[in-house]
Amino acid sequence: MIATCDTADRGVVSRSFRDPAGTVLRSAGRILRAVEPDSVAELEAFLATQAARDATKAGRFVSSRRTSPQEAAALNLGSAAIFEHERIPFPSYAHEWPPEMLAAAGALTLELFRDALGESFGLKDATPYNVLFRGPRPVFVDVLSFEQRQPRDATWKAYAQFVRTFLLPLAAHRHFGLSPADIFAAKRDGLEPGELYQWAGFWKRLTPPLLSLVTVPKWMGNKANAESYHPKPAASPKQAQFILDHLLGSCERQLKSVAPRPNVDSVWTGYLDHKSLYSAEQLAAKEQFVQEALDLAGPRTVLDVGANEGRFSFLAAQRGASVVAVDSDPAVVGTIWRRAHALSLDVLPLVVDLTRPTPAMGWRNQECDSFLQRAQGHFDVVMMLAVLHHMLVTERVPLEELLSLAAELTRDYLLIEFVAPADPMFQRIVRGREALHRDLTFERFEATAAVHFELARSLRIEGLHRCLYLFRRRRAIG
Amino acid sequence: VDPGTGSFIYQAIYAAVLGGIFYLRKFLSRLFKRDK
Repeated sequence: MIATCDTADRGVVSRSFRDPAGTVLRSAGRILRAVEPDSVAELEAFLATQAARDATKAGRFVSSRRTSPQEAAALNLGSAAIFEHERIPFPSYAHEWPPEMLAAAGALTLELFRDALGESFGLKDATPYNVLFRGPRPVFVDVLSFEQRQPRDATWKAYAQFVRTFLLPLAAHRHFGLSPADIFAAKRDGLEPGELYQWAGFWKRLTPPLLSLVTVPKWMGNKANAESYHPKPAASPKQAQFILDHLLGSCERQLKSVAPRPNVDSVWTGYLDHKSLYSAEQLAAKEQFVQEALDLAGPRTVLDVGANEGRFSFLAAQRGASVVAVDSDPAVVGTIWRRAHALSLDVLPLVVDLTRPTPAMGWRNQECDSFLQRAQGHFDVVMMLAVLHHMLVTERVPLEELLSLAAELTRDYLLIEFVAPADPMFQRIVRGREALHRDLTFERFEATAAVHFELARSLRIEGLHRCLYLFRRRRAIG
Repeated sequence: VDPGTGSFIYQAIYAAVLGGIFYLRKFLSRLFKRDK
C-alpha cells in the first residue's frame, strides 16, 4: 500500500511498511522507493522485461528509475537502493472508487500478471491498493509486487487476496447492492467468503458465480490446515504454466461475471436530464456561464463537488483541465467513470461526500491521506453547482464554514450556484424547517463570500431562485 | 504474500483438476498422432 500525496514536504516521510522488500517514501514532492539490497536485482530484472516496459509505455505501470548513488547517499537511508517513481497527479484509494473503477483495477492486475507470467515473473500480492488512477485510467504502482517464479510453482499465492479484495466486493455490489467504497472504508482486506455466504439465499449459494467464489471456499475453509498452504509443485514447468494460464482465465471470467451492470438507477442518475427544475433554455444559460467562467479562469486542475453525472466536469476536461469529480452517490460516479473512460477525458471520479470527506486511513492514519489533505490547495477552480443547499439543509453545515472550506480547496476561483430558500428544490429538502434558513438571502450569501473572495461575475437564472457566481480568491496561491 | 483460507484450497483443488486435464490432453494428443 502506498500513499503518494505530499502536502507538507517535511523531509523524508515513510508511507508503507507491509512489504519487507522495500518502502515508499516521499521527499520534497518526489515519490521514492527504498529497496532492500536483497530485492534490488529482482526488481531491476522485472523492470527490464518486455512486459514491464510495454506496460510503462502504455501508462498502465508506473514509470521508475534508479537514482544515482550520490542522490541515494544524500537521502541517508542506509544501504537501500533508491528508485524514483513518476508522481500520479491525484492519488485515490479503493474506499473512494465506484465499482466500475474497482473492476478496472482488477482487470489491470490480471492483465499485468498474465504478461509477467510469460517472462517467468509472478504477482505476490493482489490488492486494489497497488493501483492508482490517472484520470479514468488505472496505473499499477506497486513495482515490488512482482517476483521471480519457481518454474514448477502452479499456485498463485495472492489468489485468495484477489478474491477478497476484488471479486467478493464486486459480487457484494452486484448481488446485494453494497458499495465497494463502503466495504473498503471499514475493511482494508475486503470480504471473506463466509460473509457473503451468510447474506446469500439457498439458490444464490448454489449457482455461479457465488458457488465457486463463496460457497465452495466457505466449505473448504473449515478443512484448512498448515499443510494446505504448501501444495506440491507441478510435474513440469509446462504443466505449471498450463495451470496458471487457466486459473488466470477463470479469474478473468469471474471478474466479468461480477462487474457492475451499466445504467444502474439511483435517485441521482439522469438528474439534469429528467429530474431537475431547469428547462432546456435555463440549462443552456447555465452551461454557457460555466463555459465562459472556465475560459476566463483557464484552470489546469478542477474539483467538481457534487458532480452528479459529470456534465460540467466534462466541460472543464474538454478545455484541457485535469478534473477530480466527487459525488456521494456511487451510481453517478460510476457513470462519470464510464463516460470519461470511453471519451478518454481527464476526469477522475470519486465517491466522496464533502460534508464527510474520506478520513486518513491505515496504520497510525498514515497509509492513505485524507481527502482534504490531498485536495487542499490542489485546484485552480472549485465548482459547487447546485450542491450548496444540500450541504446547508441536509447536512446542516453553516454557510461560513462551507465558503471557508471552498477557499482552502481552491488556489484561484470558486464557481458556485446559490439556491435560495424560495426555490422548490430547497423547499423539498427543508421539510418544514424553513425557520432555520430564514436569513439565507442572496445578499447574505454574497456578503459571506466576500470574506474570502472577490466577485468576478454572476448570472441570475431567469425564472428560478438561483444565481451562479464566479468568485476569485482574495489571495490567490501562486 | 497472502495465502488466504478456503479460496486458497479451492485454488489448489482447481489446480489439481487442471493438472489432470493437462495430462489428459497430452495423452489424447499422442493417441491422435499415433492414429494419424
